[in-house]
Parts: sequence; structure tokens; C-alpha cells
Amino acid sequence: MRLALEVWRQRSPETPGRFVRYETTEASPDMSLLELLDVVNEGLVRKGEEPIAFDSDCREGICGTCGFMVNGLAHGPLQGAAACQVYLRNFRDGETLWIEPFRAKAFPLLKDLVLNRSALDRIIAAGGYVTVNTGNAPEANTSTIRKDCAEQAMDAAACIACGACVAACPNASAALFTGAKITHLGNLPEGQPERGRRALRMVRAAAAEGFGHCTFAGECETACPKSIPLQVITQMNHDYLAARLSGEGRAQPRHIEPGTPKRHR
Amino acid sequence: MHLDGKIPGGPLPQKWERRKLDYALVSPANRRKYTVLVVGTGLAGASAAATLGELGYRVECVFFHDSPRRAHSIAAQGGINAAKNYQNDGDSVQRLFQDTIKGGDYRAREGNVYRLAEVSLRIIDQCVAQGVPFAREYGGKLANRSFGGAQVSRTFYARGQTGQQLLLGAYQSLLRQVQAGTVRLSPRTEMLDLVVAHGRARGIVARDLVTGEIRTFVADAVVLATGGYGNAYFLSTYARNSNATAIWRAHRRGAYFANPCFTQIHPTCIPVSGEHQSKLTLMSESLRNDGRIWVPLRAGDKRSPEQIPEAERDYYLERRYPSYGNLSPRDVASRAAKAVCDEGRGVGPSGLGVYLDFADAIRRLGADVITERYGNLFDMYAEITGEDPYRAPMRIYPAIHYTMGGLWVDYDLMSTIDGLFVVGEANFSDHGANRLGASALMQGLADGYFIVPLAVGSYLARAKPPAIDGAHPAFEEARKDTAARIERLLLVRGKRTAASFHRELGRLLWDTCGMSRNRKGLERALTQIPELREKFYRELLVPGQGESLNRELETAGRVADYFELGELTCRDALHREESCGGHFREEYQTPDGEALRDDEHFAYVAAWQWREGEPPILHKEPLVFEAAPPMQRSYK
Amino acid sequence: MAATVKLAATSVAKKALMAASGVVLTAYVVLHLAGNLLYFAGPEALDAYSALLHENPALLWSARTVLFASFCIHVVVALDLSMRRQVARPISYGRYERAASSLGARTMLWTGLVLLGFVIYHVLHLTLGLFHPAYSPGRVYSNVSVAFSSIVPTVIYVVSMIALGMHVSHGALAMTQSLGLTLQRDRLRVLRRLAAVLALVVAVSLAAIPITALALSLLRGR
Repeated sequence: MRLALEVWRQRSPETPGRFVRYETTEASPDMSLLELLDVVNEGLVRKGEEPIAFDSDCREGICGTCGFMVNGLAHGPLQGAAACQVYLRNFRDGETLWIEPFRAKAFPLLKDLVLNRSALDRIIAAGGYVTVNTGNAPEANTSTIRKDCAEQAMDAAACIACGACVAACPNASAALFTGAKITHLGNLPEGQPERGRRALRMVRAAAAEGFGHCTFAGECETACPKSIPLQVITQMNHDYLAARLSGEGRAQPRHIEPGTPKRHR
Repeated sequence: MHLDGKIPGGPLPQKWERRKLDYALVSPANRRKYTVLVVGTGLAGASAAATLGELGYRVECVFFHDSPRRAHSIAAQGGINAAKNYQNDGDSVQRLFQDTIKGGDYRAREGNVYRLAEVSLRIIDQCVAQGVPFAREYGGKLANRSFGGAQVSRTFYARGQTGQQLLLGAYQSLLRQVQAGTVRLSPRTEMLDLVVAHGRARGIVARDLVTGEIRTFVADAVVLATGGYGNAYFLSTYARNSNATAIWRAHRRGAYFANPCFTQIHPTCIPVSGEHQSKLTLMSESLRNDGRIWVPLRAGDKRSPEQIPEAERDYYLERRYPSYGNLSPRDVASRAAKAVCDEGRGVGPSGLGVYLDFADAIRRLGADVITERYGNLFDMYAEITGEDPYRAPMRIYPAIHYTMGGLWVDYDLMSTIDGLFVVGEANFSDHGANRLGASALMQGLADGYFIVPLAVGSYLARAKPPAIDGAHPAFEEARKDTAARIERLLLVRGKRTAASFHRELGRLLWDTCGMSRNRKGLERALTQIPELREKFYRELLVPGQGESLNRELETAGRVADYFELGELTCRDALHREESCGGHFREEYQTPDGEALRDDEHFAYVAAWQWREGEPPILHKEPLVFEAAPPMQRSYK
Repeated sequence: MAATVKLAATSVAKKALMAASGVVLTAYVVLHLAGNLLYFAGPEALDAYSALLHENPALLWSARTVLFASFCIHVVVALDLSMRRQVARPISYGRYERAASSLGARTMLWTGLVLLGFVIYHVLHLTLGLFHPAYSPGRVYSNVSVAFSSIVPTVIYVVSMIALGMHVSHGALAMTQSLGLTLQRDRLRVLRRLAAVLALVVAVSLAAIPITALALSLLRGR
């Protein structure tokens, strides 16, 4: 196969970037998109040029490390696949592929297609967990979970934190990511005590990281390599608003100033 | 040096209880005065770092990924074993222990394995409490399945993403500690050396992968959780960046390397499609529950599978192992596949593949049932190969998948360097010569949640490591060494990429020290690897500089260590003149081609000590079997 | 008040404000439409309806206040959020394809701006009687008939009603989700269709009035 690549090259966060064209004739339909980049890179190295920097690790769609825009779509043209799972047989011979990093203020670019996505970790750190120290767990089968609740939790828990939802969103919102964790834990009995607090803290953390708002356009769900349903966003909105309106987290121990006289009614 | 496994006395079921009582404690108020460095954030590393943080230690967590959640534990599909006996099918701690010892072909320590089986119960409790969405029955209770040839249902699972969900549980606990201020993360930072001062592990040297800065981390104890070394073989089911540099550098600083030749080959991977291929993809072993494995009876039969009549097919696993059939353990199934391909009966364009056929299962159960059970695996296969497994049989071939060998550790998971603990796949401890399915996740979490936090505490309480800072000469020396190694790689300025050397080394290792090994091949490897290494330092080309993000430099450093590690692996395979588990020496087999173990001469752990410029020294830790006397493993 | 400030800080809270005001505006559009359909019942019915509305000025003005407040919140928060888009993605894509968004979702801001202009025009035109050749308070039917006897206002109204339909087609769905109405997948699909039907009904019925008026006047003029 003959393919042309227009790849975003940017040496460092400070220097301006641009698209650079690479023509390749070594592509084969059984090659993955990332393997094509490997091949282009080996050629560049042999010429003594700097290879295209991109992140990837497991190359089977589960670690969430890889990801970039291909012809304007996050992770390329396939539904439910990460960039590493896209094989060249999905493109036409002679086609030009535009490869560009995910863009969002919260994902600062490091080099070429490599980003810093630590913002997603910080959203989880704000409340995306169940507070339970090691050793503090009851016997596993004491809790009973309705099968469909467990399934819905699993649907949401499948998130791989690749950032495609943010990349595809017209507003660079992390609502699908944040909602996925809120829905995962909110569907399980273990997640109930912290449900409201979690929603408040995670939503605030996402705002503080500079992610945008959700307009429910649905781009994220389509871009998501795990096809996480849009409903997780509604769940997030629900839990957040319920917590907000119920005054979650405002209960304080009653403090009485020493020396306060008894109140006579 | 005498290798002491420090296994507690007394009957097996009391050993761990006794050791926990022996452990010295650090008072809660004193814990924050100690810094523990954890390298790696897979199941073992993340769970260890989180738990140490919860206990109140100051934890530095260093890893090369951009987020702790990317570690390759995330890719484990099948499940995690635990002796809960929820299915009332006769499971128990004792039985899980026996299965694991037998599965490991009697090359693991009884004490460690018993503890693993014991702790397995609490792992499931812990994970459920964290919100891991394990599969459930309609009644709301936990579901189990049987896995990897086990005769009881003891595997807990979360669809085909068990590793992911367990890792996310540990990751979330870890980030909770980050928020609480007990754990500090250093992402995109790769350990390049261990610092040993006054005989104790006191820190590491690491490279910031974005800026190229060489940094040192000072600590009172170091925990390595950096995974296995299977990527030495180039093509494997490991993640692209999984590497052996951390454990290899620790080895060069004095940690013994145990049983490097015990590598596991997984039978159900998608075959190689071409030279460009970057990694192999594993498909869950569960496929073997319903799929039938076969090759043509006649060598060189190039007909397409549907044109080969039933009578001209060889269902070789069913034929050779009638009782286990297609569910034979991994090592047995892999070797059998290699044997038929060596006879010229392999299928597919490369001749390196066997059929995994679902036609019978589809006829018997209907396509719907098959879709329900294996739909995602079938989709994955179709996506990668472009072929429809509902119509034509899948092609599979074995691939390197796990390494049982690793740094030697005692019962407390401490290596031969004081204060250096090794957990998860990076150590050698629990799987002997072959790991059973769904046991890796169990071991990683047992080490990280329940064992190493106590052992590290006891070490700190007893050793009371004195204060030290990064200006100590040992840190200076390690930093200089590291800088010189990087400089050397950058200055070769030859014409070949690191990947091309890696590919060549990998092929050599696969051919000589892969599924089956023999003296001639191993000796060839032992002469060719040093030659290849020399060539590497003459012809390598790393573009760019060290002071920026430079993937070629990262790869080159890892490949440089694979040469030495590969050599040690072959040396170990050559010295072990028996066949056991993943190590199959062609010279040592029964008349019908089964592994022939030699318990009289080789019932020991082979722990290798590094020497600069000289061959390594072999130390032997004898293995004693009291509760589970060795038997011939038979799956016929 | 501190709570409100905090509430307004996250985009989820802002979207909830958008949605709550959207609910009021949608309800108003539906009621307004129901009243306006009396146009087809003839002058007496329509003028009587208008008189009824003006019977209780307190009620009328409180309704107008709520409506005006909702309108202002809706517009201000929308402009605020749309300006943040740029902040959340300072460097835009070289290539960017919207694969999943409906037409309504894609054009929300533009249809919203059209509606903002339209509402101002509409109030000046048919409530206050500016740019109206023969406005007479209380005589709604005749005001409408005269107003739409020429092409330009009719076209403005019809275009605006198309914009309204597009805006409602996405807005009526999105507001339920912003308020956290959790639904199963198939129910969500039903809701999506209901929103589309509502949008179509509103746009067609409201556009039918000026078109009818124009047609009648053209017929009469011939």
C-alpha cells in the first residue's frame, strides 16, 4: 500500500509546530497504524533524523497510552478501537492521513504527538476511589450487588483514560471521563457513602484543570475506544446536583464557645 | 554465600502467622520519618505504594509511564484465583497450594506458595471493598469460573478485563494517598541504576524521560515492582515499554538473579503476520474451553482448512493428552504446537501456526452462545487478522508471555541486597518453573497489599537506616555511571537502529532458548550474543540528544541490558540439565516426548551472582518438599 | 449567596442553570404556541384570549418577570460558556470532524444568537408595535394580519422559527440530561425522538401563522 502521512511535528512545548508530510510505500494492510509510524520512524532514524515521538505501550487497546487524531477523528475511523487497534486495511490505497495530537488546554503538549495527561489522574485523586485501607475489608460475599448494577458499573469502569473524549469534544470537556468513574463507583454499594462528596470533588477538580463544559453533543461516546455510554454524564450531573442541593459536606460538629450562657426560651 | 530463604519454622499453615508475629513494628508516629521508594505501578507496585502510604510511610513512587494506571498488569484478561470455595467444589487453601506447587513443576518454595494461597482470600475481600466490579450471579453474589485447566472454579473475573479492574482498584487507592500527601508520584521517570551504600539499598538513579535530566532518589528502603523481562525476546505479549533495566541494574549491584530460564510461553496468541510486527496479541486461554486445536495430518498440506476432511486432520492435543485434551497446561500445549510446526505441519503463510477451530462448538451450541462467551475475542481476532473466525478456524501460535524467573528474594521478599525488596513478576518467588492461569494477579496483589508492607516495616524497625543524602559518594558514582552509559550510546553514531538489534537478539533467543532448548543451540547463543553486543556498540545509531524526550535512546538503553540478561538466561538454561515447566531441554524427555524432571540433581533455585568481566557465580538454594511431595506432572 | 457563587463555578452547575432556564423557556414556547393557534380560530377568539391575559396585570407581570429572568440567565450563561470553549482548547485542530453531533447540537450557538435577535425584534414588533405600520393594542388578530402582509417580516419570522426548531431539537433533550434525568439507553432514544417531534411541531405551527397571514393577504390583494 502507498500512504502519505501529514504528521504534526513540534520539537518542544515552546517552539511552534507544523504538519510535515511523509510518503511511504512500505505499508501493508496487516500493519497497524502505530506499526506504520514505527516503520516511518526506522526510516527517519536511518537517515539520522529525529523520529516522530508518540506514546504507546500495550498495543492491544487497554492501557490508554496511545491516541491522536487521524483525519480529524480521535483514534481514527473505527468505533470502539484505540489508535493501536486500527489496521491499515481500513484506509484506501493512496490516501493521506492527517495525524495530529489531542488538543486541550488541560493536556499540554510535550513533543510531536506526546501529551501530558496528568490532569486525568488529578481528577481521580480528588475523589475517584472508595476510602478503604488495606485490611479493612469485610468478607467479599457479604455485599450483594444486582447483576445489572454490576454490569452498568463495569460498562463505566472500562474507561482507559486515553483522553479521546476530551479530544473529540467540541468544548474539550472531560465529562465522559469524570462521569465514568462517578457512575462506576456510584452503582456499587461500596461507593455509596462517598457518592455525593465524590461527585462534588471530581467535578470541581475537572473544572480547576481547565476542561470545558458538556453540551451533550455525543462526540465523546463515539470517540471512546471503550464506547462508554453518554448516560454516565447524566449520572454525574445527577449526583453532583443532588449533593449540591442536599448540602453535602456542610454538616459540621456543633461548636459551642466556652462560657456561653444557657439559652432561655 | 549461603542462600537463606528465611522460611519460618513450624507447620505450613502457621508459618506466615509466626512470621507476622516476629516482625518488628514501627510506631505510627515514626513511620513518616522513613522514605520508601517504590519503582513501578503495576498491581504489585501500586498496591504496595498505596498500602505503605496508608500505614503512614513517606512513599516516593517512580515509574516510566505517564500515569500509574498504564502499567501492563492492565492487560491481564482472564482472572484472579482465590481459594474461597464459594462453589462448594472442594477447593481450599491447601488445594490451591498443591495445584500451584504442582503447576510450577516443583520448583517453587512451599512456604511462599502456601502463604500466597492463604492471602488470596483477603485479596478478593480488599478488591470488592474498593469497588472492583467483579462478575456477579443473578443473586448478587460473586461469580466464578474455572480457568487454565483447574479442576475447581476459583477464578474471579471482571469480563475479559480483570487485570484492568484490579489495577484500577490499586491505582485509585494509590491516588487517594497522593491526595493525602503520603505518596509522591514521579511519572515519566525511568530507573537506570540502584544505589547501594554501606551494603544497603538507599536509592536509585533515574532519567526524566521528558527533560533527560538524571535524578537521584534517596530512600530508606527500595521496592522494585518493575515486572518481567520477556521483552528480551522482542516479540512477546508484553507492552512495548516493559523492560528489564531496573532489575538488571539491581542485579549488577549485587542482587542475585534466580531461575532466569523459567520463561512462560502462552499457547493462544495471534501468529506473526510480518517483519513490521511490533508485538504479539494474546487471546484468553478460555478459548480452549470450546475450541479444538488441530493441524493437517500430512506435512506441507497447503489446502485451506475447509478443504481438509476430518480424517486428514490431527487433533494432536486430544490425541496425546486424552484426559486434559485442549485444556492441557500452557507449557504442554505450547510445546506440542511447536512440535507439529517443526514437523512441517504448521498452517498459515509462515507455517508457524495451528488451527483453533470452533466449527464443532458452533454446531453444538449455536453461534449465539459462542458470541456470548467469546464475542469480544472473536472481534479482536477479526480486527487484527482481517479474517472471520466464525467461518474459518482461527490460527494461533505460542508467544512469550510471562517470566517466572526474576530477582532472588527470601520469604520476606528481600533480595540479597539489604533493604531492596522485589515484588510481583520482578521476583522469582511463587510460580516455580511454570505459572498457572490467573495466578499472576494473585501474586502481585498478595505481595503488594499484604506481604511487603509488613516486611519493609520490620526491616526499617530493625535496621534503622541512618540518614543519608544524595551527595553521598555512592550516589555520585551511580549518577556518573549512568551518565557515562547514556553518553556511550549516543556517541556510537553508527547506522543501525536499536530496534533492529533487538529484533536480531530476540530471534536468536526465541530459536535457542524459547519453547525448547538444547545444548548445541544454547552454546551457539552464548557465543553469538556477545558478538552481537559488540556489534551493537559499534553500529548503533541514536539520533538526537540526551537532554530531551528521546525514545530511541530509551530503547537503546533497554536493548543494551537485554544482551547481558539474554546471555544469563541461556547460561541458566544450559546448566539446568533437566526439563521442567517452561524449561524444556530436548535431551531430557521421556520416550513419548514429555518433560523429564531431575529432582535428585536440580530441585534447587539457581541464583546467579553478577561479576564484572567474568562469568557469573551460581548459588543454589535447595528446595524441600514436605507437604507436597514431587510427582511426575501428567495431563494424559 | 456564597453558595450560589460556588454553584456557578463549575460547568455542571452552569449547565444546570442553562437547563432550568431552558425548561421555563420551552414551557413558555409551548404555551405561547397554544395561545397563538387561536389565530386559526378567527379574530374574536384570538382577541378574547389576549384580553384574558391582560385581565390580571399582577399575574401577567410576574410571569413576564420570570420569563425575562430565565431569558437573561439563558443568554448570559450561554455566552459565558461559549467563550470558555476557546479557553479549554486554545489551539484548534487542523482537521476536526464532528462525527456524532446532530444538526441542532452543532448549531446551538448560532440558532441561539438568531433567537436572541428575533426575541428582541418580536417584542418590539408585536408587543410594543414598533416597525409596525398600523399597531393597535389589544387587536391582536388585525396586528398579526397587517404585520405579515409584507414579505420581509414573514421571512424573518419563518427563518427564526426554523432556528427555534433546531434549537429546541437539541435543547429539549440536553436540558433533561444537564438536570440529571438518568435514563436507560432505549428510553434516552425515545426522549431524543420526542425532542425532535416537539421541535418540529413548534417550528411548523409557529411558522404557519405568518405564512397563513401572508397568503391570506396575497389572496385578498389579488
